[in-house]
Amino acid sequence: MAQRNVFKKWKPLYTFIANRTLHTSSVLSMFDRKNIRAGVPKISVKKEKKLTYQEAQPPDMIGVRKAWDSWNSCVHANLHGEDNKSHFVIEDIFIRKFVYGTFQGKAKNIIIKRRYNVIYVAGLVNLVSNSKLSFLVAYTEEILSYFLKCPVKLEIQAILLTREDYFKKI
Amino acid sequence: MKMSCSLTRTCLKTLKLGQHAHRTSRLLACCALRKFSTEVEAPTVSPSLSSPPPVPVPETVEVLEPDDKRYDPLSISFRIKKSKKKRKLKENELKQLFPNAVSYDLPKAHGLWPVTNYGKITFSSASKAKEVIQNMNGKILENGAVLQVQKALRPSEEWLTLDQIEIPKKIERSPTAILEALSATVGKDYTSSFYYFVDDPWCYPKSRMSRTIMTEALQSGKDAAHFIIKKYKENFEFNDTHPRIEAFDPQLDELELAETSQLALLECIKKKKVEDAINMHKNCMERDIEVSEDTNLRLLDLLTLYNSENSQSKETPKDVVLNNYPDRLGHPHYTKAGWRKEGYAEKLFMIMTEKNQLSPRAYNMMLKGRAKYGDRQRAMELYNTMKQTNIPVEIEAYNLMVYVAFNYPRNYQVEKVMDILRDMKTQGVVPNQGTFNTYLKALLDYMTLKKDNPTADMLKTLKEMKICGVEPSLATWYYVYKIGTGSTSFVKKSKMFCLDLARQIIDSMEGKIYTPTAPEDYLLYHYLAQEVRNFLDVDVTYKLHKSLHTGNNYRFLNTFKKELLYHLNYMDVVKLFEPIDTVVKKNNEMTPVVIPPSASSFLQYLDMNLTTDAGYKNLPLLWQDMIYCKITTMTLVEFYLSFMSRKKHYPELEEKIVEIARDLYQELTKKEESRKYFGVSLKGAIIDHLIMIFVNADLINEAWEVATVVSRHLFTLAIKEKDFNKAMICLQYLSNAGDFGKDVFQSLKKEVLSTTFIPSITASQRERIESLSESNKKRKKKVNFWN
Repeated sequence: MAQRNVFKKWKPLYTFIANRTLHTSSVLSMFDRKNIRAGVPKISVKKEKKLTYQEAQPPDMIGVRKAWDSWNSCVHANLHGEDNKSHFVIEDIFIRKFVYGTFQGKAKNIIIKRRYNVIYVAGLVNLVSNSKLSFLVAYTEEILSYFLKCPVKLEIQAILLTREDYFKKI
Repeated sequence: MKMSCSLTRTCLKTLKLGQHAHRTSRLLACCALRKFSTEVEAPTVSPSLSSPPPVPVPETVEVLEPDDKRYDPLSISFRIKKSKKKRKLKENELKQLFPNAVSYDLPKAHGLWPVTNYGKITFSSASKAKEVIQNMNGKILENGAVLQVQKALRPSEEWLTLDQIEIPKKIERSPTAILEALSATVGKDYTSSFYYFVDDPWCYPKSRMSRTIMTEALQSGKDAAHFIIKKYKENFEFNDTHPRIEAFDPQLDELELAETSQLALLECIKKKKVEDAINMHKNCMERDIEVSEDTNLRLLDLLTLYNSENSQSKETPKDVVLNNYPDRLGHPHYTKAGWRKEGYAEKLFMIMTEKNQLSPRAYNMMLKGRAKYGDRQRAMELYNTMKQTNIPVEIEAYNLMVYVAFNYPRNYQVEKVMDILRDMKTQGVVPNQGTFNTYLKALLDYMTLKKDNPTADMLKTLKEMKICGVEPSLATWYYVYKIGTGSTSFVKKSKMFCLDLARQIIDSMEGKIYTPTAPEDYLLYHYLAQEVRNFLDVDVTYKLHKSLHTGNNYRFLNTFKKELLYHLNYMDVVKLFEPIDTVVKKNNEMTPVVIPPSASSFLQYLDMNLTTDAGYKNLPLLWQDMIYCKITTMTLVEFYLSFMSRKKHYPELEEKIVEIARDLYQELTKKEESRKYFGVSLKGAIIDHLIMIFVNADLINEAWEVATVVSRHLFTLAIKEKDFNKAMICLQYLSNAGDFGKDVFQSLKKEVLSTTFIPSITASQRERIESLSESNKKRKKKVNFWN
């Protein structure tokens, strides 16, 4: 009781200054997704922009509906005391650029998997002729294995022209 | 046995006279080959080069005697069984039961003994222990307990000191031995394509041309990569692997050391660069750098192997798979140049004689080189010097000398060959598979005249092989067959004889797994398949097929062409003897991979299936195969549709055929060119068949749609020839046709009346056109008239 009286007496300006309250507003729910701007692609005017399934998912769905493009399930990444993750990032960038270039801009979305000693590169490709595809596959396998000093294997699936390889058009 | 000997004698007599040679050889074949697989018989006629090897049979069986060191002879173990109450023996009781013992151990669980109720008792002598075991085992104690007395094991530490541990010898296996063993259990998978191709069905080759194209594309991709790696070496040199991996270094095949030294020489030899090694050695000799005996020997090895010139490049999978009948076949007897008499190998040999570095191994290498490349004179010289100076000659050198000795003219040939074989015997060298193979090969190559009859020698060699315990390889059977059927001589044998020979060969090949020893191994299977197909014998083909699929034997069909030939001949025989269902099954296994299809093969398949009503169910699948392989030619499609349209099929088949017809019609009436049916266009016969298919399926609307195509063709006809009369004919035809060509009639009319068709149309012509109208009105008028 005595303390309260003290506080009542001493009620100067500092109460306004020293008070720390929370400023609240109406609740922002993630399920409606009204005001989220991060990780959302811009809508085009004529709805021409093609999105793959992965690109169409927002970032809060990582691990739920959205997955990674490179999987490093190998010795040099996941064991105690191994610090090679930066090494793998650089290798991934190199692989993606290389494959994009050699397949004439048709292999954009590639999945890279590392198992034990081997790197598997998987993707969808849309080329005109069989022999061209097999030539490029053999070429990339050889050169990448000589660059990265481990066997590289391509697991490519061919798409015909009639098939549509996008998930959504925005 | 006796009969055979007398027969052989008579046969030889007739052979000498030269009369009826083929009959006697046939008898010889029947006698000898029939018994080849059953019993060993020592012949009385031919000279045996070596005595039969003794084969010791182990008759004794292992018995664990009391001297077995695992058991302690002085002690016994005991325990109680079948007691109603769990009771343990106490020391007083033990002393009553076993009075003569030295020490008593009650059952405990300590270190080495297992945790059971066993106890141990030791005696002063082994005989006492034995007596106790015999007397006391099974003795019944109070309360129904049974005593069990046994020999006692030593603790395991003592075993190791007592016995000498025999570590078995290590069997050296390749790094992929386990994988090979696993794959041998699986067998050939006909549905999978060659491992080399990209694993996507669109990329699989579906015809013979595309197969070669794909392999060459893959190989050229690799070559392009290697070109760039060589050109921009610096970018590929960083290697941070721990432990260091050398497989992906850019400089594997190239030389690192450029200085003139012994190490550089050894590197050249290791990487098989012959000319570089020669230059290096010359430079070393000039500058008086020491080259040891070992390196000289290795250089000699290289030079004699490759005849002092650079060998061909490495074999890639493409070369193996597309290389059908190579000239060389691995045998340099086919080279025209021959042994280089002024090559560096001879010079090296002279250098080594000066320095007294010649060992028996060097002599052997030189002999082998000269003999392999066909230099008869120098090989015999060296051989004679080696004989005089008592230098031992190796088996492989003897093998090559046998082939060289056949090169003499006929008078001296037999002498020289038998000289070498006798020398082998005196030296105590046992002949191996190589000697027999080269002997047979020489018979094949050199016995080509009319009076030659190598079958007798061939049969003798087979007997010798049995005695020496040498297993015949596939190459021997190849030679045997060729010699026996007389492909070399001018007199060819009868078909029955050839069949008989083939049958016996295949019987003796049953259940055996072969390893590649000679390049002729790879020629047997498809050659035999071709021969057997001429006789049209089913059992023999199936046996051959079985022997192909035992273990790893399929690898002897290493090129695409051999596989193709073998399987074509196999299917030719199967088609004649088996019912349709099995034939269809096997055909579906073989087609896209092993026997890539073509239009003619599809036609044959069609013929086969159309002979019976039951075969019609396989035809929708055929259509899918035709689309997949893109073999849609006009003749095939017409033929197919003509049979589908002849009669009304049962409803399940009808559905599928109607689907096919619809698909065809829709694809071909698109404005763009259809890639699905590349060689097909909507023309006369196909329209007829399509109409009939729809009519038989009671889909008349669709039949009408197809029929209107005719009128469209008339439209194009009329326009092309810008002739008024012809256009009039078409217009009249279409007007009389009624609803059939209504739309086309109107459009044609517009075209004709427009100025682009004919720039000048007279008024009378216009009248005629406009008077033409749809015939329905006219008909209606006529009806009214009559009424």
